[in-house]
Amino acid sequence: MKKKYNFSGGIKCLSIKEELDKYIIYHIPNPNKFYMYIQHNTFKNNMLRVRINQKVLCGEPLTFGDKSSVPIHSPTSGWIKSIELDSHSISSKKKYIKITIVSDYLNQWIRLKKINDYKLYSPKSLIKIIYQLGVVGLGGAHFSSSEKLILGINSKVHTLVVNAVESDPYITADYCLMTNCLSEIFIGCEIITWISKVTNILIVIQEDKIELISKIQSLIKNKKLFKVCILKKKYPGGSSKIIIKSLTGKDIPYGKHSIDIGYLIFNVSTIYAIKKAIINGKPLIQRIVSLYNHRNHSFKNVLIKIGTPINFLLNFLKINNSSNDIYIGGLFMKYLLMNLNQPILKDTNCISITKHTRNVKKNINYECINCGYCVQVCPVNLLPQKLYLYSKNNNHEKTKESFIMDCIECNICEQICPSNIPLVTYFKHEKFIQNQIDKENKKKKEFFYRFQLREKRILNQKKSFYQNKNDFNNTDLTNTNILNKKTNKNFINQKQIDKNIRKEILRSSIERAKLKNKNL
Amino acid sequence: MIIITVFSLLSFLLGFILSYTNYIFPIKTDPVINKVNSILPQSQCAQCGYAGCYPYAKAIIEKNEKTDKCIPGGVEVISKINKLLNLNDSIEIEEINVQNTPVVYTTVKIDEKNCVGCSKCASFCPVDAIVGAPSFMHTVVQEFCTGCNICLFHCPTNCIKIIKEDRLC
Ligand code: SF4
Ligand code: SF4
Ligand code: SF4
Ligand code: SF4
Repeated sequence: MKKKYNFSGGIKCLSIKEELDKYIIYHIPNPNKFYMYIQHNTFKNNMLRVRINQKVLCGEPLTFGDKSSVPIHSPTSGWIKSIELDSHSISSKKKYIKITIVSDYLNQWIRLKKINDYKLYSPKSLIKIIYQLGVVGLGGAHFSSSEKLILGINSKVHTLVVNAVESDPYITADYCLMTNCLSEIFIGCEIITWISKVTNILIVIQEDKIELISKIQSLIKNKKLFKVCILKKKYPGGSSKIIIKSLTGKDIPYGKHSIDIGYLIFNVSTIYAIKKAIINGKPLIQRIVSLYNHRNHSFKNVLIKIGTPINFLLNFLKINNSSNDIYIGGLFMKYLLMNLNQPILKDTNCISITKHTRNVKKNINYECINCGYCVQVCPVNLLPQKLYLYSKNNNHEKTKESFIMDCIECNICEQICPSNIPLVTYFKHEKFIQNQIDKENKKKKEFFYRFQLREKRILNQKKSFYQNKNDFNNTDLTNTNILNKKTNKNFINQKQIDKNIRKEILRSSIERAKLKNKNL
Repeated sequence: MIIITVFSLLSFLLGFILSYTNYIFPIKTDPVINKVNSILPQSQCAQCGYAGCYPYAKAIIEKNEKTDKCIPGGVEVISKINKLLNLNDSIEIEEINVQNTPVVYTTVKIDEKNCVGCSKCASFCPVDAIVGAPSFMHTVVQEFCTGCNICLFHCPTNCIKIIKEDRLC
């Protein structure tokens, strides 16, 4: 038996009964309207590439990307119906640009630039292609893949970690992708190897995917680069921090990435998207989303275009949404969806449907009983109970000292707490405050530094001013070089003239004397 | 016995070295002043009657200045300073500026069409956030502007405006 990698904390979860349905990718037809949400940048006013009523083709870029956001592509051919500012139901604080596209059902593509031999291209240009085709991390972090690759090139990574771990027991999107498109994922891995020159590829997978593991092992038999790492089936496993910790035993502190210690982590579906972008020239416009219905425990993995309203998906699958609660996310991390017109985003990986429950009896929050359950399960070795006390009493320094920023918001401590304390809500708020304090401190430092600089400058100015003044008074103007030379010249001239005059006088006197002699 | 003597000697030596270094490199800045200074909002607006936040912090420590002069800081800053210095004058705080909201960082913007290039604003800005040469158009570097609004009162053409920008969120 091979060694199974593990991490401390977390909870074991039973794998859900294997069904044949899980392997099949369902296809969903195009809805008539797509909603695209675009993070807008206030400093750039011409981000959009399209106008209202303009005709777009499938795969046409809608925005110019910038440093923080990649370009977004049209998922269908049709018309731009409206462009407006709207907020998202998940992060309602921020405003997004919402583009509504009406489909014409023709699905005409723009011309795709296919690359057969990617080794003819330099890594830089390949990264540029990945950026232009809008590939971001599909695991949930939404981090631009091109940025990650650039960071990886700059800091010399040695290992590519293929993240095939699904943290949530209900999400099977990546698993489904692996079973169906394994060879394409391998090509994607090779592309990344070519770009970032890694020497190892670790495929991290959880222990219950037995069939898949044996399939991968038979495929990689004669490939030296690849290696399979089997992780214990536990929640949470999918976070990059946790994966690195279970593989190497190293903790990645807040503010650092796995790249800093030489590990480049990519989700399976991201690798798939990179392969599609490079080899097929296709922009990222679709992804696989798991659908889990709690009522009859049925799974579905659907290939869906980004921008499809969730409402359309539910209608198509004949799921009644009046008697169900629709959540985005799996069992542990989930948001209740308020507005069913929200589209599928690039980082949506699961939609779970539960029976509608009216909150008749509210969960009562009791006091913390110091049972310590939460401490046992925390996968990053924090002390949630302590953090909770500190954040409740607004003790911001202490929370920072107890490393609240390392919390990955995995929700386990909250699930296990017998007193029903909404721990993660407290932590999120506390993190927000910590961020604010950090920013303010940074600002203050900068302002103070600039103030000091100015004081120095003014002092210098004054100094030099007074020095110049003193110079003016003390130094003899006639002593300066130019004047000196001039006076010397004058002096010489004067002397010469004086001499000449004397000579003249002498000469004339001699002449006069001669004349006298002649006369005599 | 030997161990005790060795350690006592060692500690004596170390203590001597420490005091000697302290004598050679004396701490020039008062740490308390720096602490007070770090609490102040650093917008250098001079509304406290001093040239900037650091002079005010110095005055608090050295000249027994009152702690409630900083207007942009509001109640929060006052109570923080009081907590730091173990002062207990909460009644005074309530009297003064209760309405004051905690620091909101704003910045200003120069309406560049109307700028005549008198260079007055640039010479008064405490953090050198305004760039421009005399008789040319001036502009504000948003990143450095603390929103102290000193420049506002010195502009002859009134072309500087405040932009509300809560940069902390
Ligand atoms: S939510 Fe944070 S504190 Fe709670 S178990 Fe997860 S990582 Fe630990
Ligand atoms: S699990 Fe809940 S009750 Fe128990 S120590 Fe943690 S916070 Fe307190
Ligand atoms: S009033 Fe406050 S912000 Fe303004 S200079 Fe004085 S201490 Fe600084
Ligand atoms: S630009 Fe004006 S408001 Fe901003 S820091 Fe300078 S003087 Fe103050």
